Amino acid sequence: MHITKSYKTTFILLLLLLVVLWFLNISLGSVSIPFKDVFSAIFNGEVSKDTWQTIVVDYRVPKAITAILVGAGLSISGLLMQTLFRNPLAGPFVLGISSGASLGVAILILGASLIGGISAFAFSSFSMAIAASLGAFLVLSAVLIAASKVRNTMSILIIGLMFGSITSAIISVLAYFSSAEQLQQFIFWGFGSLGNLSWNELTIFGVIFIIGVSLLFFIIKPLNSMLLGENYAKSMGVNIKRTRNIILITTSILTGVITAFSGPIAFVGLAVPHLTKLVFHTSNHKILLFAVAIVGAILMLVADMIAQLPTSEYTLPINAITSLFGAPIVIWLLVRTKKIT
Amino acid sequence: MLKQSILKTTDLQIGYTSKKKQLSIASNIDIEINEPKLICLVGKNGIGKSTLLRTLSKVQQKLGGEIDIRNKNLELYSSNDLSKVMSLVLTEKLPDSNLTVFELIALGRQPYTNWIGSLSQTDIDKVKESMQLTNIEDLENKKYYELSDGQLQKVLISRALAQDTDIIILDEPTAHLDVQHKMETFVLLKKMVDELGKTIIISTHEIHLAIQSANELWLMIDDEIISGNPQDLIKDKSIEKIFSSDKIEFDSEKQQFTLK
Repeated sequence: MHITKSYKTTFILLLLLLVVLWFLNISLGSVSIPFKDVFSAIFNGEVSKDTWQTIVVDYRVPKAITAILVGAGLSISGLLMQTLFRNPLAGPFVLGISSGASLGVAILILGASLIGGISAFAFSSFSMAIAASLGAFLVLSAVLIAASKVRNTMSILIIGLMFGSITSAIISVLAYFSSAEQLQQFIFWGFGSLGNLSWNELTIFGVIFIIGVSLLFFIIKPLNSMLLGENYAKSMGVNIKRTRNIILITTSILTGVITAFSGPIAFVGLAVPHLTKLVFHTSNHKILLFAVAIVGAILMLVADMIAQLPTSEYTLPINAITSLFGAPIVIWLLVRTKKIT
Repeated sequence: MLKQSILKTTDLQIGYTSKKKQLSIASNIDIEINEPKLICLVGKNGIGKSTLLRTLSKVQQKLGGEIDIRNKNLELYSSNDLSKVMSLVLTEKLPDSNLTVFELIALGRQPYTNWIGSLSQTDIDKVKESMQLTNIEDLENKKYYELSDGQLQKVLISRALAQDTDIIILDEPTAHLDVQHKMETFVLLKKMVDELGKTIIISTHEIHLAIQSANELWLMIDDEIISGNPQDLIKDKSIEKIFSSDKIEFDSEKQQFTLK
């Protein structure tokens, strides 16, 4: 068959897996609730205990939805970065974009004490999302400008790492001057957490997420021609500047809003596109964008299930889980395939 | 009626701009193409062949003068308009990806596809046609990184063909190829001119092959570009100006440069 495969069966299987994992994720937790009651809680049925209803509807369902948004968004950002920088090791975390988002949040949480009086405004989730997106945008723009001066893909990664270091340093300085209480708040945020989002916050998250993702429909075709490099893309009629700007904005919005609501989560953006390409042997973004979103969501649901340590009362920081599993996956990929695409 | 011109430059100056300085590489370039031809741009390393081709294809900005493509100023072309008139084969290495040969060639149809890039039957036919012409149908489902240099060059030429443009510009298409593939490439390009009426401009160091197959040579030397029929350029000894070394000379019998 000469036309690009459509991978219909694979998509259906993955979607099924996603739904199953979503239910499984909701069923697991520190309080054990029977499947039957979880089901009826979601579908407005009779639940044996009122507290179970609250736990499922107000805590577990929002958390599971957050996991899906975070996994999908970070993976899409990672794919965009890898195509834009023509670099298989690019991702929102490696390029310092997540750190930029953290900086935005740090200035908001920690800097609030320096300015004073605006803390009520500062801690609203909406302003956190904006600050994080702006921070992400700032760092990504800086990396893009630097990238236009150097051709070497390795240098671009190092430049990204340096920007990451700079933002971390600024955060340390801010932390030094803040009160213990604020510091604690910031550190907990930094562990990353998918829970603790109210339905209101989740709505804001969802709306911003959808705005970011819908911009992508304008650049599916240009993204494919970028696979041959910018000069070829241009010669095939692609408006490079416009494409680059849309990638810049989408990635900033997605990474920003995700970081604001769930903390800086590492490795998902870098690892998922590669894992996805093990199943989908294609570079067609029409397929890949959906594929990485689903795989990313699945992975995040699994990571969250591991994090809540079934049958125990503890919940591990999600960031630790993604790094523990993500870093070895990347190393394994590099060693196994030698040539990664 | 306006004379039908395919490509024309007036007083063109090429080079690089950095911060405030302009580094001019060549100026006063006046060249004109009025009918489909195979044109070989020859000259020594660093003389500015790639810069000229990049400027003609708007990959790089010109420093001065005018370029007209089909009687219309190059500046007035949007990149989408230009992509239907001119296609490129570049020397740069392709970034890693999972593209198959078919997909890579099909990207050449992008100027004609809808917003999401779906291929119509016409697009598929064009892709097939260009694969047939370059004789690479059996590679269709291979990943492009599995190909040899010679095969990849054919695929890239095939992609340019699929873009269905009057003008195709190739920057050193034979650089990494062995003698057989070098010759095959020239034969293929000649066929594209003769059978499909394409205008093809290539830069090359294969002076011997260029003399045999080109309709026109552009000799790029220090202060000018001399254009003309290969045999005429040999006769009036212009071709000897390409190299300034006293260790080599042009042998008009063998039609190539030899050691003294």
